[in-house]
Amino acid sequence: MKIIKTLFLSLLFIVCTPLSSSTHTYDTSLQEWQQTYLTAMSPEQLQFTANFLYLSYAIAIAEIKIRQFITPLSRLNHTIRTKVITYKDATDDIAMLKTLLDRLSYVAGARTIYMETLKVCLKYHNIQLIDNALVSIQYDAQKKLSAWTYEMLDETNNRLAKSSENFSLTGQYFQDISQLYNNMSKGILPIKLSKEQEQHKFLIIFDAIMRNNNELLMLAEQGIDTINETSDYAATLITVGAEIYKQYYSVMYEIITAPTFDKQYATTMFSMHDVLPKEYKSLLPDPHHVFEHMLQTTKLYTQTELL
Amino acid sequence: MTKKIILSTIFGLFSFFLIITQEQQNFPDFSKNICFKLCQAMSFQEQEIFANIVYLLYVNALLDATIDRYYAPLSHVTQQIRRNMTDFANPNDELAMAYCLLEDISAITKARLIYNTTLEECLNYYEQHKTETLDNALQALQINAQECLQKWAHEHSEHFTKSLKKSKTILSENAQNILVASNMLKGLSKGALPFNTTEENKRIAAINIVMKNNPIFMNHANNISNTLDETMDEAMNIIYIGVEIYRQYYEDIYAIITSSDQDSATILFDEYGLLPAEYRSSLPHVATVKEEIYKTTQQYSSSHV
Repeated sequence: MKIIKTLFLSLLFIVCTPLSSSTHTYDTSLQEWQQTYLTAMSPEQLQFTANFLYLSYAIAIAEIKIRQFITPLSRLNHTIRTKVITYKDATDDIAMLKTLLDRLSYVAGARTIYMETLKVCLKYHNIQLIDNALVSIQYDAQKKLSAWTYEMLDETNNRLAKSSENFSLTGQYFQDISQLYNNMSKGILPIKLSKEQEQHKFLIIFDAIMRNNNELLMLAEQGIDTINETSDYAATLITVGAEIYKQYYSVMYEIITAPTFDKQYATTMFSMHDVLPKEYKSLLPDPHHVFEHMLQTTKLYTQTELL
Repeated sequence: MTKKIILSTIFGLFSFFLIITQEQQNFPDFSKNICFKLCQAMSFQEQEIFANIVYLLYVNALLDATIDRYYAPLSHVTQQIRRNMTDFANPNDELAMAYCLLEDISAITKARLIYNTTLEECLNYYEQHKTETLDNALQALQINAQECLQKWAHEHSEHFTKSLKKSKTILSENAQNILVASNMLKGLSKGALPFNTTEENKRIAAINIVMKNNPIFMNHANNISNTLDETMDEAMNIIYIGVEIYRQYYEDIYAIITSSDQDSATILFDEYGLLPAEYRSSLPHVATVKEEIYKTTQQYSSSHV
């Protein structure tokens, strides 16, 4: 089962690992996947597969949500600093950042819970049929992701080229600043000093550092923004990956909610600590309402457990 | 005496030099006990205004220096949150810490807003009621403070030079790494990969490389940001010396105005101007200034702030 874990996480986060070994051909269409793997599964196996896909999809959603916080977090932090330094009122920005931290705490908590639950899930089963079904999803996803990257080829290349330019400018700026620091450490200033000022050179250097530091930090922040933007674009791959999980989970959901299916196998199976006792199991959520289900689940855990 | 000159003691060091060249002959030498000499020439009313100005300058400098101590921790904790987010670690401890830091920054900036406005009101009042004695005294303090700062800057120049050299090396190394990253991205944009893979996997591999390497690029950018913070912290030591100088002046003036038999000197201003007599309280002892700041800030409702 361990290999599946690696492959599945790699679907979103380490896509290159299985690329070179993808020689084996698998059925890739959803219907064929259903036909090939699901019809042969017992209700218990279907339940496990559905739970696995639900958890994987939930983690991908949490990941997408968390990544949406990164850029605003950086920017607000810098805005607050700039406003405080320039004696502007930063109350609104501080309040906004606090709200952001509250929400981030909640989503990060949800991600922790679901990742722990997925670990429990991965320890639970070791059946070849399920493994094959999951590996098949892996390769299908890989093909779809690859197709998506080709569709986005021009856009990706343009963005990479733009990021390269920004990185180059940022790197150059900091080379220049490094040179400026080097000169100042030797007592050389970029401005001409009068005789009187020459006597107070070190005081002027202290002053120059204090006056210009925020501008320099802004340059560093621009560099961080560029990295975040590049990251955000690359992370759209996760969104595509999440959508693929959703499609497969939808297929599972249709099966487990069919009138003929025994509903005792249509429930969640795991908590972050162990297999759920029968009385704590609930019906697996509709694929369109997984995030709401995640929020409800997160609420059930106390703050102590999150921490 | 303008507000700018007074504030320049801490906030605009360059304007000092203008004073030095123009005024040095008027204020040739001042001893350590400068405040005692200056106060001797003043009436009680002048001493009270003088004490209020120095008290407000001290409080403003103290609040500025206090806020400064929060920048680097907030920056570090934000970086750690970002790292935890991308490394699949739980950032809750760091989130709680960031929340606490923001609470503190919020409280201190509110206090600073109140005291900054109060200082403005005080200086406006002073502009309209200034006397030659007071004017000379404030300029004398300015010059004396400047001399202290210059002495300190010279004494610490070697240490600061070393710090600048260290920062220069870190900045240069990380800037170089960012330039390397730029070249890598340029290569990727043209379809060049650092390893062999099939044509159909090339694009997805390129995005994968970006996702894997961005945390490393982020570390370089964070290193730069942290180095700038560290250099700033070194330079900011001069601000703490400035705060200490103000504290010393205020302590001396407080000792003078509380040693005589005359009425006790009071806090004359709030953020709306001169306080009515019934709202005035005694100027605080230097050891209780922080409590006084806290008390004053608490008195203002959030709507005032």
